[in-house]
Formats: sequence, C-alpha cells, structure tokens
Amino acid sequence: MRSGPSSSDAGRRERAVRHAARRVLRTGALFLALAAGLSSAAPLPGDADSPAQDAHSPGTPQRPRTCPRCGYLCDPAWHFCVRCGWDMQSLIGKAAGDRLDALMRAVVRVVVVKTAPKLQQILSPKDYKSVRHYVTWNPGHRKAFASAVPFLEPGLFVTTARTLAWSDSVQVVTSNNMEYAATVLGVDLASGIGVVKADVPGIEPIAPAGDAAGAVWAICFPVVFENDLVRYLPVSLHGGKVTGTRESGTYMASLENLLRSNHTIPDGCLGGALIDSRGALAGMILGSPDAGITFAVPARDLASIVGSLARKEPLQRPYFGMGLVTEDDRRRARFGLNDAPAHPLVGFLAPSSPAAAADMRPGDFLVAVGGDDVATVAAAGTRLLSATPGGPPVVLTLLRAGHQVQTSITPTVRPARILLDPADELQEALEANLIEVSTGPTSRQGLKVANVVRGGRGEDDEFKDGDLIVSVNGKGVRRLETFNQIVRSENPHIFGNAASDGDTFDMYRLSLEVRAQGETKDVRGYFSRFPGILAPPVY
Amino acid sequence: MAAGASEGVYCPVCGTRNRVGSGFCLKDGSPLPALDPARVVPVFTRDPATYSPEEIQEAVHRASRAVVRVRVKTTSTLKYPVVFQPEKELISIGQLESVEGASRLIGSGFTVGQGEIVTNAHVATPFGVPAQVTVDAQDGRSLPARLRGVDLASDLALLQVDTASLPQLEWGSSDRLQLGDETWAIGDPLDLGLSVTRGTISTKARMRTGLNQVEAFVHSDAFITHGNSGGPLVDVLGRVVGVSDMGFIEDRGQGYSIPSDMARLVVDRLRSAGKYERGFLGLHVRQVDTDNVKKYGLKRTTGVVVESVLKGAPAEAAGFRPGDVLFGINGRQAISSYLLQEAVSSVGPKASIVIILDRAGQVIELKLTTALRPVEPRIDPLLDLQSYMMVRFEEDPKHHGVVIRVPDSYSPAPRFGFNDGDIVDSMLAAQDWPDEPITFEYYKKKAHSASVSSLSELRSALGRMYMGGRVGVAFQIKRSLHPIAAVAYDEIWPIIL
Repeated sequence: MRSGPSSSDAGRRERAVRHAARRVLRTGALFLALAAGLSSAAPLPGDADSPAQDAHSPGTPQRPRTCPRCGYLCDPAWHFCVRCGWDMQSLIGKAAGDRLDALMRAVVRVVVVKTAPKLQQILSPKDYKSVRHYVTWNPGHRKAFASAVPFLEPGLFVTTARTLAWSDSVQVVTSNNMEYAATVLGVDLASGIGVVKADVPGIEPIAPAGDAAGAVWAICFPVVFENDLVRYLPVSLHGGKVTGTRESGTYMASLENLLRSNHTIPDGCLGGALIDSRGALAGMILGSPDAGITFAVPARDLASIVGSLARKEPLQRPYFGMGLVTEDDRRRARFGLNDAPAHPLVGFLAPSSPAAAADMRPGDFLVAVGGDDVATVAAAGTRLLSATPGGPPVVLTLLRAGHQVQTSITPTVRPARILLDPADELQEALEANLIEVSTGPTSRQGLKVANVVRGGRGEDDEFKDGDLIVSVNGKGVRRLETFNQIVRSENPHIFGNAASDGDTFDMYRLSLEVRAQGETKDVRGYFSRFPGILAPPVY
Repeated sequence: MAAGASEGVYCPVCGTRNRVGSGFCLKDGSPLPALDPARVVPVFTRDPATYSPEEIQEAVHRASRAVVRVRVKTTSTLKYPVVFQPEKELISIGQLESVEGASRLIGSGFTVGQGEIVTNAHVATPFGVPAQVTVDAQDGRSLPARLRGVDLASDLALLQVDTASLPQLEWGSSDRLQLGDETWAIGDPLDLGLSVTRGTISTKARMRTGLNQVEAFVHSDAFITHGNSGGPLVDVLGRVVGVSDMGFIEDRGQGYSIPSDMARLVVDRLRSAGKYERGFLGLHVRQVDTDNVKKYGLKRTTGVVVESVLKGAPAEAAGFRPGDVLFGINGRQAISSYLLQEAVSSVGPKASIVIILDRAGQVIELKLTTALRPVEPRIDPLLDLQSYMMVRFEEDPKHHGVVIRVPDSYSPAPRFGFNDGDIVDSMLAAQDWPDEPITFEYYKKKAHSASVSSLSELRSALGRMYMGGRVGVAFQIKRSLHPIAAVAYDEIWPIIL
C-alpha cells in the first residue's frame, strides 16, 4: 500500500504520531511501572478522600460552603443551593480534577486469553458492523481487551460478560501498569455483566450513583489494533452527556434497561466506567455501536447481579420465553399489523417455554403485566423480572387483532442459554422476514426474503427483498417448520437433550442456497449469532 | 448569574424550585429555609464551571471570531521519501514523492495581538519551506500575511496581517487546567468552514510524541483533524489554553495541543525578536525508565538520563557522559524534559549555565557556555534509525558486513522486510533516492549506492537519510529473494537539550 500524496500537513504528522506513539507509550509504560514500584507504599487514592463522599457523612464537622454559582452560604447538609438551585454535590474545578484522577487510577484494564475453538470467534464489538463480523481463528489462544470497574467490594471488578465468557485466563492491569492475575467469579450473558476478582492493593470500589442525568465522564483503557500488533493507550477520560435511559433493542444483552450516552469510545473501552457529575458510578459501559452512541448498564442494576455473581449464587430469574421487541415496519408486515399501540410487541417465542405453552402468539402486543400497564420493553422487562420463578402465575393482558386477551403464565427458572427456533433466529439475525412460498413453479418455491431492513444485518450480508432460500445444507426448504427440523436434526450437540448450558461457545453453520431474482444460484454460509454475538431480547 | 435568584427558593434536598415564601417543598415536602440576604458572600467570583450552556456558547462564539483560516501556497517543489508495499508481500519499495509548487494547504490560526496571528509552524511554513500565506478572517476578509517569526522546534509561528480590527483572544493558563475540564478546539477542519469541537481534558501528563523537538502536550478527547492545526483550544471563558497541533485520526477522541503556557513564551520571543534563539548544550536525553536504570545502574530515578552527547557540542567539551542523570539547572530543580529543554533554550546562546547532575550516585555541578541551537539538531543517525526500527546493527567480521539484529517482537522491522540476521551489502539514503520505485533493476543499474562493510561506513552514509521532514533509507541485503528493502518514516525527535 502506497501512501498517497501528502496534500495535507496534518496527515503527515498524524502518520508519524502513529509510528512514534508505540515507542513513546512503551517507554511511558515502563516509567510508570517503575514509578509505581517506588511508591508502592502509598495507597492508590480511592473513594476515601473524595469530597463527594465526605460531604454528608454524619459525625464529620463541616463548615458551611459557598455556592460556586451565586455565592450563597449554604449549610453542609443541603444538597442544593436554596438560592439558585446549584447541585452542591456536583464536582467542579479542582475537586473534579482530584476525584477523576483518583477514579482514573481505580479503573483497570482487563486482558483475557481465550482459546479459540474450531468455529468462528468474534472480534470485540466495536460498532454495529463488527458485532456482526466474524473472523475465522485457527484453534489456539487469542486475547481480548477491555476495561473493568472496581465495584461493591475491594478486589471485585465488573466488566462485560462477553469479555469474560469462554475465557482461559484473565489478568487485570492497573493504570500504573502493574499486572495482577484475576479469576472469573461469574458471567451473566443475559444482563451482559461479568465479575472478576483480583487482589489489587489500594483500589477501593466506586460507589454507585442514583439516576444519572446530564454530564457523565467515561473512563477506560483504549487499545489500537495495528496489523497484528496491539497498541495500549494510557487510561483516558471522555466527556459526554446522558442521552437516554431505559434503552432496549441493542442486542447487546437480553435483559436491557440501558443508559445511553453520547460518548465516542475507542476499542478496549467496553467495561469502562461512566462517572456522573458527583463522582459516583453511573454505569458500566456495555458497548458502543457507533461514534456518539454508547450503552451502559446502570449502576443501580449492577449491584444485585454483581453481588450474586460474586457469591457464586445462581441467578434465579423468572422465565416466560417471550421475545419482546419494539414494533417496526418489518414486524408490522410480518404480523399484518395495522395499528401501532404504545406497547411492546411479542416478536417470537422461545420453544418449549411457558409462554409458548400458554395462549400467546408472536404478533401479540403486551399491554399489561399483572394489571400494570407497560409501554416499553424496558418497563415490561422490569415488571416481568419481578415475578417469582415457579411462584404465583402472572396475568398478562395481550392485544391481539384489536381485542384484549388475558392469559396467566407461571414463570420457570430462566435457563443459562436460550435457544430460539432456527427460523426465528435467522429472521432476527438478518433483520428480514422469511415468507413460505410453496405454490407456483417448483423452481420458485422456498423461503422468500422480504422486508430487509435498510442498513440492517441482512443487507450487510447481501440479502435483498425477493431473494429465495431454496435449500439449507443441500436439503430443499419451503416451510419454516422444515427449516427448523433440518437445523435441529443436524446440530444435536446444540439442540439435543444433552445440549450445552451456555458454558461453551457453540454455533451452528448453515449453507443456504439463495436464488436471486435473476435465477442465479448462490450458496452462502451462515453462522448462528445467538447468543454468542447477538443477545435475543427474551424475557 | 444565579438564574432566578430573586424569583424562587430551591429545595435543599431535591433541587426543585418553589415560590418564595413557601414553607415546604412542593415535590418532597422538605422544609424550605428562608432566604437570608446576609448569607450572600459580598465579594464573590463565580466559578466558571457553573456557567450555563448558553453562557459557554456565548464565550466560545466570541472566541471563535478571533479564529482565522490560514491558506498556504508553497512556492517550491518539495520531495520526501515514501515506501510502499506490494500486496501481501513483506518487502517494501522506496521512492521519492513530491508536493508540487503552488499546491494549497489549509490550517487554522488565531489572533492574539494587533494583527498578530498564532499558528503552527507546519502550517505557516510547511516542510520548512517559505510559503505565501493568506489569512481568511471571520468577517469575510482575506488578508495577505507575512511571517513575523517561526520556531520549528516547538512548531509555532507568528503571522502578521496589516489590520488592527481583528478580534483578539486572551491567553489562559494551561497549568491551571484540571482533569475533566471542558475545552473547545476551534478551527477549520477539512476546509469545511469554522467548526468547534468539545474536548474534555484527559491528561495533563505532558505527553511526548517526538513530532516536535520541544513538546509537552495537553491531551483532550477533542476530535482534532486535518486543518485544525494552529487553531486554539479555549476554556469555558474563551481563553486560549492550547494550540491544536495534532490528533490521531483513527483513534477516536485523541487530540494533542501545545499548552498555552509554552506557546505564550515562544510567541513573546517571536514577537520581540522574530525568532527564538534557543540555547543549546548538545545532550541527547531520555526520561528515566526501567531500561536505562538497568543499563546504567542508576541510583536516582527522577530526572533525565544522558543517552548520548552530540559531536562538537558544548556538552562534549564540558565532559558529560551517557548515564548522567540531570535534575537541575542554575540551582533550581527541573526533572521534566520539557522544563529542562525550556530552561536551556531560554538562556539563549553564549550564556553560561550550571547543570546539576547525578553521576553514579554523586551530585556534580557542571558549568558550561551554551551555543545556538541548530534548526535541526541531530543525534548519531545510526542511533536514530535503530531506535525507530527497534533493531541493532552489528559488525559481522565473518562476512565483512553489517548484520541486522531484531531482538524485540514489537519491532516494525519485519514489516518493512528486515529480518533478524540480515546482512547489509550496501545502502541508498533518501537524498539519493529517485522519483521512480527503487526496484532491484534500478538499484543495480542506476543507483549510486554506498557500500557498507562497517558500522562507521554505515553511520556516515546514513547522514543523508533525512529529507523533507522524513527519514528514508533503502538497503541491499545479501539474500536471493527480495534483496532490496526500504524504510521511510516521519522524523521522530529525541529529546535534545
């Protein structure tokens, strides 16, 4: 590859920085390591000396403070200035600088070694595209890089579940480049949370914040992939704002109630901390599909799950087996919906689940759970998750073809791995509908691809409206049920009775014979993406 | 501006605004204290961090009026070495590329005095060649600018336009920046017109990248890209806290700016003298790290270590040695490389200076007279190339040649086609490179290559590898497959005092 004519001064300099930085960073890292060795007696600043933490602790004598905005002398117990409403707990100036400095030392880098099986492994999700991208790795070790937040107890670090899933060994690296061996305490793919334990001296857990709003900082350890080399950048701080709460439909976790911010974060930042203006933990970064969009698990949702994972207690979650989505054009076409009530839509049902056994059908709107009206997927999810597994049945109000239907379902315990019907999975993974065509000339029969979402995953895989899937693994298909049967019978290790419990990263491979409109034949490989790459929104 | 101070009373617990005179908060029922005029601090400076978005917008807007677009037309053709790699082959082929005369370049700048415009040296004099500079102000005027002064070492330049009516920016203090402070980089990225990008201060750790001879960057998460160069980084009050210099393109939100405290110093010199005559000792140093602690058995771990002493420089005569740890100047402690560089620079040439150093545990003071810092002081080119490639050149008596050792897996050498144990036959430095690709054919028939059989021959031939701000060298290696491999990169400055 030839470098183009250097029409721009900046381009030339930036290229050079890239070359230079590796060397600079390496020497920097060594220096930091050395400095840490010399000052190891000094504890890393954690929460202890933070003004935000001390401000209202009982027993500590406090002087009245002057409001930095209007100059009113406020009592120390006041959270807000009574004269101008300024949030007296928000950190500004030197207090913010000191707190962030402490937090930037508390967040750690996680380096995970995974053994790649024969099948495909994913790259760390960087954007929408790489959530979908997979590369074939030769069997052997590979590394994944992320960040982790000290949380709940000293020695516990929270990061994303996918970072830790299927790992062989885990190491945490502090901001001063000290390395510590870590053990995985638990991985919960459903909520996207993973917990490791590492005896890192001097790092205190970051206290969780309440409902975050306004300005938030992201703290994480970026990495840059340069050909085969990984370049570690030092811990970095990114400013941003909360742009949404209770977000769903990201396919990053099954149980979504996510905080969204406008950060643009580099690779390696998954598992990083979102810090609110008071210096408390607003959330753990779950993923960033694109520049300016970052999703995080809010801190209030972390606490209970991290606690259970840390104690190695099984998470007893209620399970109904319904896939809840927000209705869109594709689903409207699929289920023949005309109206669009402000309720979540049942997009699919997990096979042999309580919901599938009850009177529930894909295409129903979920209007109310236990009598409480639910307007969003996150709200419905919260309500459904509050049920007791095996406990009293939950009454669900459904809207089906304009009529309200009531059904009651007794939830079971949520399994570690939820397998969808292969036909449902394919439609969700490709973001396209499959329509059975079993009339007309034999050459025109098969599963017709329709309503391919613009810019969606199916379009990336070069599926177009009107494409016809005529066979799977060499066997002709005209009905979705046949498709399911073929995939199930050919993958007993996944769908059989002795199916794995989610501890292994199983994927199945299909070869789909696709006939485009011009009668051309094309055989395409497809790898299952659930739940390894995409998390189905199943409750 | 204590919005609503006279109109309401806010709940001390939940922050909800209530009517004056209410006893309890409407939202949570907390008791509301009565507003006491005596509790307003009489002499009070509002913290800039409490400014509302509108106030910040106003300040940034005001600041942006002092930002100009700098259009540059080079008058001479500049050549510089590049290498390219044929598809899927681990070799590299070098050639010279050129920027034609009269090509256009765009940067940014800002006004600080009457018609005085600060920008980067690499904008005002791209590649160090004289250029015709035009400044486009925000009011739509295009003004010819002349170069008042340029300091290549810090990558700063001062331009002068003949008008007094441009809005001016005020200097702020980069030293007072705090982590998490909001700043705004203003400039003309990609020649799309003025644009403002927010940057949170991510580190004040004085990053060094080696792109400038004297540098200590402020790092923010601003998206600095082509054309931002020379634009200001302003704080909440619209004061300059940095001069945007460079950013990683692919790495999201990694922007590097020259701190204002450093820029101001240089600009003052450029204003008064038209140039910054820096003092010079001829010491090539490095921050203390584990490598050189081991190498020299250092006792002191703060300061900078002498790596090498430049030939013919004052430091050579004064008796500096590799392994000396410098930590003070003229009786004052200075342990950061930037402070040491600035201290030596600021005394100017022909000044006497006392360096405090630690040699094998003993504190020594060395007195010497500075020289004038050359425009491009260079260390032993062999060291320079070795440190970029992360390789070692060794004499091989058996083959009467020089052998390349690649000890480090981080080394970029294999990607250029150099492998451990390669024996160098001859070389062609950038100043002798042609405009056509250096193929084996060309190398054999047309090139005036320098044969290399010893390190001293290699060293003297490498003196010609610097060209157009870049470094380039092609080697002929004793092997049958791909005997020519070339390397080219932007010059990376070691720390030279």
